[in-house]
Amino acid sequence: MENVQLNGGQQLAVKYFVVAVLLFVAQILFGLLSGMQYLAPDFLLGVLNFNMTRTVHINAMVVWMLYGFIGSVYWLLEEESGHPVVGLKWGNLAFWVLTAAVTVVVLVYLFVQTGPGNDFTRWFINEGREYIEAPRWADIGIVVCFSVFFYNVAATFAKGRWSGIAGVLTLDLIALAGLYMAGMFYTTNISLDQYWWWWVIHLWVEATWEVLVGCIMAWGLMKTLQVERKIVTTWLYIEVALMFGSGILGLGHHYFWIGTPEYWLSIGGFFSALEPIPLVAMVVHAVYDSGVRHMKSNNRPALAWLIAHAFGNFFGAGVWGFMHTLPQINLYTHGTQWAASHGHLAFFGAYATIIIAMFYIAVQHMRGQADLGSHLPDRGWKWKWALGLLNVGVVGMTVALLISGYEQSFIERAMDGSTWYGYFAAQIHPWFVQGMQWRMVFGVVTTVGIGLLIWDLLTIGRARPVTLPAATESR
Amino acid sequence: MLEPVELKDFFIVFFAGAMVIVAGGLYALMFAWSRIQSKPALMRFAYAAYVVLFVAVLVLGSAAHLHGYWWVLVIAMLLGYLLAPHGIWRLCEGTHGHRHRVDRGIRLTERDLETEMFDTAEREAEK
Repeated sequence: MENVQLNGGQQLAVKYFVVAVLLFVAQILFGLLSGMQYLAPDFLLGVLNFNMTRTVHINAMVVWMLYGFIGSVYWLLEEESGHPVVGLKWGNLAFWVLTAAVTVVVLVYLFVQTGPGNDFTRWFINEGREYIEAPRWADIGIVVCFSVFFYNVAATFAKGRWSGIAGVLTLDLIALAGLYMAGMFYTTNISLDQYWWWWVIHLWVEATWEVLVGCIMAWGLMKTLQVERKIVTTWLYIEVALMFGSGILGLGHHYFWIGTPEYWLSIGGFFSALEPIPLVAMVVHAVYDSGVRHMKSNNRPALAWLIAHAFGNFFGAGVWGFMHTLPQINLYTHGTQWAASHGHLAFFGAYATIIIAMFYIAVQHMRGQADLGSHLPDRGWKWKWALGLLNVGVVGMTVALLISGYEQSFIERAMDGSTWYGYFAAQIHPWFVQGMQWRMVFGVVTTVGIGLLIWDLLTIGRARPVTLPAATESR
Repeated sequence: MLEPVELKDFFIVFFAGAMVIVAGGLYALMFAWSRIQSKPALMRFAYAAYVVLFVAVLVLGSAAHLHGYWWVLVIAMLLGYLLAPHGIWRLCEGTHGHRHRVDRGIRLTERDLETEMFDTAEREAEK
């Protein structure tokens, strides 16, 4: 590994990947703490309350995925553009500034936690907007660091070679950074505040992140399956059209109950129902490509995670999303464990999987293009078990939360009309409690999975590959 | 106007909603598989999956009270899920159908040969 010369962008990418993995671990550990607090509400009470463990759990997820995306882009940048990263020094500086800022923000979350509830709190402790709680100074820092990242990407492509992937990626990064600013101004009107806040959350997750992942996927397919550039580029354009066509106004499903005009019910319902169509359409393309390529790859872990991405995206975003997205039913499910169930599978399926695939692509290169196909000395048991445990763990948590969410929407929302009585009746119901217990069990399975994943990433491809007799080569 | 789902229809709505997407995915999968393997018999399963989708959409429409202008949504889902695999298949054919035929030894069309020549020239130029 260590003898391989990495280009400047790749060296920076490795730094981003390392922090991404650390934050992934933090996400899972704080998820376990939050899950435990459902089962034993006194656990860490007064020391680290549920609101903080959940905040760190979710923020760590958002940030590790961003680190994974940024790392992935730096990894492919020089190769894709045919030019060294322009302004790499600034890129490195931005990495350290961003990482220091993330560290300070997490330490403040953990040790300061709350403030007087005025502008000081908003600027220096916690902004209070769910998922993007980072205080205002950190918001500004994030935008500055993102601007440096954008400069690196755009200037490198400008001085090197433009391609379809380069164009889509660059435009997407403008949208990504621009949308973040929609969540950065303060208003005392909660409806207005939520209206803009959803621009960050929805339009990141269901539009710009999807397109960013599309770019990484396109590049990943060229690497793992040697798919021709012309093909992946055409598909990238189609994907962008389909995703933006349905995803932008799909934003309406978040506007159902925040005090926006009634027409959002129709717009949100209509476009949300169309959002899974691109996912269904992509099934055809996946079958077509796998039929043509015969799934041959010398990086099986990466390919397996790309396949997990296709399925996870389809089920997590498509099936789990559509089940409760129409306003006629969302009236009861909004904000219950239903949403958590959908969130767990969709974030893992659509984003975690593809970032892990990129880790394996990077690791293969770092280990001198080691053959990560079927000739691994340990038969690749570590990556296979990590893949299995992480997927079983997340799917298990998803189903457990689904059961709890079903009970919650039924008893708390529909039967007892969202009253306090209904809330407590739902929280102590055996279906809810057992769902939470099973969520904890599968959370532990997920934790074991990530332990194994890290072990595998540190060791895979280091040993010499096993040479098999010619007759078994094709297996 | 919005008419919320009745309590007794909760499970039906969740189940029908899931079946719309699952059957839609299955239809797309069988459709593509049938074409790529040149097995027309599989197309029956594809359309059987679409029938399931069709029923699921109608059940969802009824249980979720998709009346009035909400029927547009029902029609859009029925047409959208029916046509999407066809459209994407055509695009697949247009973008890399010739590669499929080359690999499988299927007789190439004149257009395939032109594409093959163009691709070869492009690859040479990249080198």
